[in-house]
Amino acid sequence: MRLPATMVIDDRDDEKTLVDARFAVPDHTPREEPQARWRGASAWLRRRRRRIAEAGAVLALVLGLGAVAYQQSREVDALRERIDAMKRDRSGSFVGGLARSSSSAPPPVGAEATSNPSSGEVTQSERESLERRGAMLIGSNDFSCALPHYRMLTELFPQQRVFRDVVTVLEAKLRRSGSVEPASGSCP
Amino acid sequence: MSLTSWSTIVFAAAALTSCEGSTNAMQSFDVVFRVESDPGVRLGGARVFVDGESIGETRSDGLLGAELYGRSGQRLRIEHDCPEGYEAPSQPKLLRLRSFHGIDASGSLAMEITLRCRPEKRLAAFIVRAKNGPGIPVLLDGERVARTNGFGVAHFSAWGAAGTELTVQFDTSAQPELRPQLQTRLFTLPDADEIFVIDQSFAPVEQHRKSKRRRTKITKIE
Repeated sequence: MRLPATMVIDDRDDEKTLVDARFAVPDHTPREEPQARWRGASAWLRRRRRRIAEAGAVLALVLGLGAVAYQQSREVDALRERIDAMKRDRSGSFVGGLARSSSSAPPPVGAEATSNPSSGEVTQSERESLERRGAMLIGSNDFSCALPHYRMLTELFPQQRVFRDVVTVLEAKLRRSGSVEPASGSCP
Repeated sequence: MSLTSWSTIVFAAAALTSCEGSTNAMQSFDVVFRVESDPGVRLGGARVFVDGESIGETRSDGLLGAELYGRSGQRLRIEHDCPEGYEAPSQPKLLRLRSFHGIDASGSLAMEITLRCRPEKRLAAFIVRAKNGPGIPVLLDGERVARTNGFGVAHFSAWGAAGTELTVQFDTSAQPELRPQLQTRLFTLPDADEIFVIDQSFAPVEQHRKSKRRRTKITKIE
């Protein structure tokens, strides 16, 4: 014999809705609690929206400034290291930057070229580029920038008399014109 | 004439006499001799003579301080000998002795006289910028002095007396396809150290002919 499906009326249901037991939710309480909590939280968030936005902006500002400060401190450290390295090496960073393994450097060419320990550290292409830059500076009458450049060439190739001669003439020309040598780094 | 007038005249005459006496008296004058090879370039080791008598040599800073004795307004003949490699002017200088006082009353000022020792030779630095001309030998007065690098740049220098003429030549004999061949430039050394920049363009024969033809056309249009 088959029994009809039992109809259960939930006591908590104010409307006295008839609910089929097969579809009845065993207990409503656990589901309703998180929803209520969420509603409460969202209401709280809505109330404090302005304050939260302000706090976020302040936090973003603080974090940004911190990042900038960190970046700056890293750059300062790097700069200090470079200055120390330059102090250690009298020839300066630009000369040091050109230093290469002497084994790979081909001998310099030119009528007055002679081998020397410093020039051996500069590759042929670097030397040609340096000579070209010097010629360009003098060709554009930028004697005040050409002078430190040719002094560097004299340091790199101390046995090349011609670079020393160029320095001598540049010094005389700048003295005649009353020009002042530029501060380090002011030349392009 | 009253007694006051007479006394004024006597006083003025006495004052004039005393002034006259002081200008004629021998006194010492501080003089600083400065010897320069070029304007602003001081030179040491130059011997200075006053009225034919040596008073010393300039120091390494090119200066020589001296105390000369004479009367104010007296003229003295100043001559100097230059170190090797420099030449002094043939005419002596005349110095009139004068006393100078600073406006801040800090005492008498030394007279300063500048003497010149002209360098016998001048330095000329040459910078070659040869467009399309790498590896070209450069001749100075027929002698090979440099070769252009991969960028067509070459450096060389020369010494010579002011007015000397120097011939710079590009020896393109090893690259017969390049034009112009055996390009020659003439330079005259000035009475100062100088840098000469030589810009020279090279092109292969065909390109050179075309550019020449094109140039001719432009000339006709003009």
